[in-house]
Amino acid sequence: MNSRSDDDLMVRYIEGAASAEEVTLLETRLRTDPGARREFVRLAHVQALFVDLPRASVVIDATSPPFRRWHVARAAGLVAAALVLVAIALVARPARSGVATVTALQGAVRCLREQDVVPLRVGDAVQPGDQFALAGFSTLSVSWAGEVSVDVEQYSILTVGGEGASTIYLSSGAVHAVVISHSGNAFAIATADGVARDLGTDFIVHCDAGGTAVQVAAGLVMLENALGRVTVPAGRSASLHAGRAPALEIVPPHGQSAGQRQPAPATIPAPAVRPPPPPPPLVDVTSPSSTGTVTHLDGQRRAFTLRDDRSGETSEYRAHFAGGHAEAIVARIASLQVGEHLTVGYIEQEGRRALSIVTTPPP
Amino acid sequence: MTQPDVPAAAHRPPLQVLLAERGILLAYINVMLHDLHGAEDILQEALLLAMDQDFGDADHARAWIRVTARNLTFAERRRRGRGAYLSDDLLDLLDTAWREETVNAAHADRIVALQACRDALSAAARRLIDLRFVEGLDGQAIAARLGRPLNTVYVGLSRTYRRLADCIQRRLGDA
Repeated sequence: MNSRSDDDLMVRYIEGAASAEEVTLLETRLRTDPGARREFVRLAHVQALFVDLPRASVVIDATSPPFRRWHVARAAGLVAAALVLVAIALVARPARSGVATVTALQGAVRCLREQDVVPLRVGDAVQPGDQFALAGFSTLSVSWAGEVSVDVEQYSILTVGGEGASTIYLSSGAVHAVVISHSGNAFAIATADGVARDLGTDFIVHCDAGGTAVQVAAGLVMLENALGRVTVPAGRSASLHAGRAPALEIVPPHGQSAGQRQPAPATIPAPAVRPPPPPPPLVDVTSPSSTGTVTHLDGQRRAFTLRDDRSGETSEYRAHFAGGHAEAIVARIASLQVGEHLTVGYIEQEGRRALSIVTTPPP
Repeated sequence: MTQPDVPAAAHRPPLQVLLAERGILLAYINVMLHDLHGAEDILQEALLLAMDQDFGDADHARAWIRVTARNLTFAERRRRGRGAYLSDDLLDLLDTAWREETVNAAHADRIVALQACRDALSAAARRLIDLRFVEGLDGQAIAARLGRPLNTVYVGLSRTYRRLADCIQRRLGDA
């Protein structure tokens, strides 16, 4: 098929604008033509993809290299704000005692609790066994007695551990954990690939079908699974894959020589073969590598401006949100503070380029 | 070494498969609902329910979430009242096409491809898409905004969707 009028009819239906007579006409067409059915599905799929597309143009300012910038979807924040209103409008359950508390959320965040789907609002208690599956443009922040704060990125699927365990079971997605103090067991994030156990720290865990990646901003994180254990210091990343011992990533940012690498802590036992790294966050940033001070954060916590220590020039680093791959680095950007001193560079993995943000002492 | 007792939910690669096919699941639901934001809510609820399931493999998870999403969508349709929708048996007939579409690239790759394809659209097509998805206008509102007949708007959207679908397939090499 694929005549223009057939396409028009399909799109009118997909858009919800087809009359009953047009639906009957479309149904007759689809019933008799497998090619029409394939085309119908293809067009419906394209339309649905727009739900996750950044809401504004991506523009490369090619007139001022090397300070070309990717400009991201500012309107994404508007969408998030609208979703917050929806969340507020939902009937929320009264807070009950739990292992943790919801401290912030964007979008309509719900959890599965004892077979019920429960909408959440700020201040609600998080119960042991609560399960979360965050939709697009939804985020969730949870605090464990003010000692552990966890930001959960959109598209994440996770389960909260039992009483006293302070454990999150991350099935997919990204979480950013900041551990201020311990009054009991260490805080841990478990995935199908292994466990990231904090030793007083600030770290991000990203998990998808390719494995688990851990990026440590401050303190130490111990990664372990049945095959081994590795301690990950601040500024370093590591990967976890089922069936392999945890391994540190040792690729330095651009412009940093191998001699400047931080010493790699021992892996126990050292893996015989380095596992392939997981896909890096897909973040397109074209400003140069730089060491300097954060001078500005955008209102949506998706970009920051860095003043270079040497040149005094400022560059903007803006994460280009691209679906499920970018959550970890977006979460890192969201955690930045004005005045923080960073080294920003890039990591090349499997031919792809990912942003690396490392907290460094001021000069 | 002591490891936390990891519940089944953390060991479910099929759930990750479902997330990687999020776009097509949204489309699947939207074809039955005509409301993309409503489709997002239903998919979120279906994913939550999926966390309590033990899936043997990805195909099991796919089949389960489609049935669940369909039931949730029909419940939502009943709550909303009347609408002009494809019949149940026609939806069954579409199953093969949905499965064929599913074997192509993952959602994140499609989003990146769509972004590039959108940027390559003509100014007029881009304007139409922005009105539809940035400003969230429906066909009627777009027609009013542009001062064009409603049919012209849908013809324009139709051409643009098809152009984008072709472009995505080219970029992903799955044409």
